[in-house]
Amino acid sequence: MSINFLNRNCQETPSHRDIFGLCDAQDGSRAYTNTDNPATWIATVKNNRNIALIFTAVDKCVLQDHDEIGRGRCDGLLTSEEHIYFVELKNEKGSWVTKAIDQLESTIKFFIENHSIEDFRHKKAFACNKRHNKFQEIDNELNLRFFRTYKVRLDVQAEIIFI
Amino acid sequence: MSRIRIKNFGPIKEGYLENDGWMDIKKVTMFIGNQGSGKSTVAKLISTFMWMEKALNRGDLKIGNANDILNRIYWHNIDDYFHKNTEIEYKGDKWSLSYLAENDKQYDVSQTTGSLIEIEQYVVPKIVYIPAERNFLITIKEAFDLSGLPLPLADFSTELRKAQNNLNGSKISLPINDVNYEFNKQEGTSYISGKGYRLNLSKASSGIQSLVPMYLISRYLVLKIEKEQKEVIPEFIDLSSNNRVRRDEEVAAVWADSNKTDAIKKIDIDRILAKYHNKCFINIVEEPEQNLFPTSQKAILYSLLEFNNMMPGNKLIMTTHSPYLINYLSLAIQGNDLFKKIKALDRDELKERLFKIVPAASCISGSDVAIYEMDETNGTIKKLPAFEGIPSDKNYLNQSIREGNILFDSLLEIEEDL
Repeated sequence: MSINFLNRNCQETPSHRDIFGLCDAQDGSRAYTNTDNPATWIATVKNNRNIALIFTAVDKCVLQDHDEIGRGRCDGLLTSEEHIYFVELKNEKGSWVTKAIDQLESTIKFFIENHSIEDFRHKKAFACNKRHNKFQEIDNELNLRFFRTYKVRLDVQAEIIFI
Repeated sequence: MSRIRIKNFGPIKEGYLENDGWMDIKKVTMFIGNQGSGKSTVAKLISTFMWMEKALNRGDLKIGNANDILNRIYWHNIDDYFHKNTEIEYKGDKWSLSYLAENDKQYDVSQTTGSLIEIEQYVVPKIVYIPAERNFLITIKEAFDLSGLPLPLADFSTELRKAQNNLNGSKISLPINDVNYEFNKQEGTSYISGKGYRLNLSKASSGIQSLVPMYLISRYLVLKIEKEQKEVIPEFIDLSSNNRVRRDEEVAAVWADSNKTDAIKKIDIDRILAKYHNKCFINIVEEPEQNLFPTSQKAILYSLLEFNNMMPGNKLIMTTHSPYLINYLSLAIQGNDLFKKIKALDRDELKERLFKIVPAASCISGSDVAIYEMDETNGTIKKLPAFEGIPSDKNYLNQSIREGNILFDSLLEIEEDL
């Protein structure tokens, strides 16, 4: 099936703010942005250049629960004219990283099947967790494999910085 | 390329599990593994056999004398590591050596098979073994004059003193912390200095004390070899008295041979001179990271890689416990790959960004790197896989960090059940 990641019904109005949060209530609703309640933020977006950023809810909107059953999807997308950042928001313990990367990978595949990812100069995938930052280890090989496969740079952290 | 095969020696039992046990000794070769897994043992054997190949080439050793290999292994203080079924084989660019204990201590030397051209391309190396105990020479006053030092350390201390004297009192900058180093010949004392301080090296941090001998000797030797490459006058080549006498006698004998034409004499003399002329540098370093903060580990690794890149025949062989070193080595490999792409696409404007991360002189091709993982539980050795030359994240050192993470998470899980 064709999937429209540019579905306006799933997009918020562009934000130029320096800083805002990405939230997911984990109650079956879609992910959203927030500017005034940092306690609810799972990931923090830093946008010092005040680029116009559009947040698109992927899970529960671009892809509904009944769409592509069995295939993973991430929570959202942040896009500008030259950026496309895939974001998975987690609020759990345990082995969340592998699951988050799988969801991001699956969403990137969906995107590539339906749009031209090459239109964006900066392509990244963020696995974010509010409760537990990833314990650091060295991921050079994983990052290179991800980059070679999708031309998207993988980043496991809860701070999404636009440069 | 030189290769080595080791079975049943010290902690090594079955040895390398691939390629019929033969490990390639690449331009950059790294050994990782637990204490007692045999990292230094392999590095010392590589040092031993490369040294023997050089000695055979120069005629210092006689073919067929098993004591030669035993003496050199004794020199490294690993002579207790022999088992009744020890097998050690080495295939160098010119000479192949083997020691098979089961065959009544059979020691065998032969010319490496291959075309004559390959054998003629043997490049005489200067081999140095930089031991983990290197700080000792800095922390103990008069260590240079101590008798009874382990032989490799005594040899190392001689090289260190040569490197120190070679500075002629001038300062050199160390690759970390904007620190300078100088050696006062009269006092026999080392100093480090920086903004607003000057300190006797024996009172400096353990990281600096570990770095100075490693950096000084590596720098001194590689620059010396580079300088001597350009020397055409044999008298200027630095040799021991014995070797100088022998070289001159060999040359005199060729000149005195009335059966040879002048042209043949010249070829023979060039061959003799080449035997006494070090043209590459084999730098074997135990734990380059010793006592150093990660960014300093990066700086010293990049220096060692830069020295290693100065001549085509150079090799850098390291043992390590540091995941950072593997990480920074990955940067140097990826940097090299990117450098080639930038050149191919004529995108010179990107070079500056690249070289801010990895200096051009320190880049290394992934195909020139081998990392071996030693398992002390069963005495085996495996080569760490690589993706496009980048060492796998699933190496012992990274796995140890991961294990720590998992254990920490387990503690949180227990707390959850409180």
